[in-house]
Amino acid sequence: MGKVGDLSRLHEKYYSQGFRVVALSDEPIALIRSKLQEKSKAKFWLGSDPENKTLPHFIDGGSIGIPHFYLVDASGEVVGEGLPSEARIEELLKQIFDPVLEREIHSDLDEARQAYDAGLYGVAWREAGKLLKKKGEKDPAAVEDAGFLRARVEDYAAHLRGIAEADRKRDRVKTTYGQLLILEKRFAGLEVASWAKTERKALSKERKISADKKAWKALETALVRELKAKGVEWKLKIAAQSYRKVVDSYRRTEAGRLAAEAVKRLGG
Amino acid sequence: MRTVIATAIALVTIGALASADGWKKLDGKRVPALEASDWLNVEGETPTLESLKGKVWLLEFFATW
Repeated sequence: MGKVGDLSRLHEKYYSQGFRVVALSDEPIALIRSKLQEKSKAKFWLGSDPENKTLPHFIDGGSIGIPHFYLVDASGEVVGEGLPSEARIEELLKQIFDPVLEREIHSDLDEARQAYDAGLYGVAWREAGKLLKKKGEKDPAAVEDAGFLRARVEDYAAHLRGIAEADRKRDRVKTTYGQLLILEKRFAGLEVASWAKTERKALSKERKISADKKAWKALETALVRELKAKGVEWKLKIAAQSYRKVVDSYRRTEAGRLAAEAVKRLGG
Repeated sequence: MRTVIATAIALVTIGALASADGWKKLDGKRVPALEASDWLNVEGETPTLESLKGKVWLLEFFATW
């Protein structure tokens, strides 16, 4: 990794999902402009830090080679570092942005897999946990897959929580409320769901939410219906109808917007 | 900075060998700082720790040489 073209491609591909590449050097801005922006056509953010105010905070008395990368998640935590290949970086991004499991999972985890695919991340996490307890070290392949599945759920939850917290700080009450609802229901059983429930309760008193109380309730009902369907097609159709009703009745609300997204996701 | 880089080039080679895919997962340490005197390719808001909250971002420390 480190080729300008690779980074530009990733920056542009995942930009709309909230991904950014931020590149920093201690060299003068004129040199960065001529070599990276003009000659190599870098599309991502390029900064000049000649007084070296940033790097020492990352290496914390240690040392690194250049180039060196750090990945920061939506909550502002550094979750990885190194000099990865472009493919590795893309794999990490897919894990964060795209909850679809792209690989086969051990057949003992079929139930967990189905729950995951249906968006019941809390159930998937719990089922994988049960297998870990049962199998111990006896079946390394199953244990590895259970760990993988749980890590994917946890990473995705952390990503969504980071977005919700950032939106809350910016006083985007309605979008935060919607994200909290999703976290609470889809990740039930995880600590993040309890956190979301508490936060959502606190937010529900705000005027911006209480004014659309009926719309939010209708969305919650549709979401619960979708989760109870557990991926069964005819039940999902009923859930889609519930979402459609929310869209029709509360078109101009955030709940209506989220319901419209759900209708699209369910193929309606 | 130059000293840091010079002493560290060998270390990163060793580090890359230690980790097969060149990547080490970290246990969520708060991002400590992001400062630059000038920015390029920025449209609108300058990147800061605050403006990047809610975003996933890859920070690269680089050199043009």
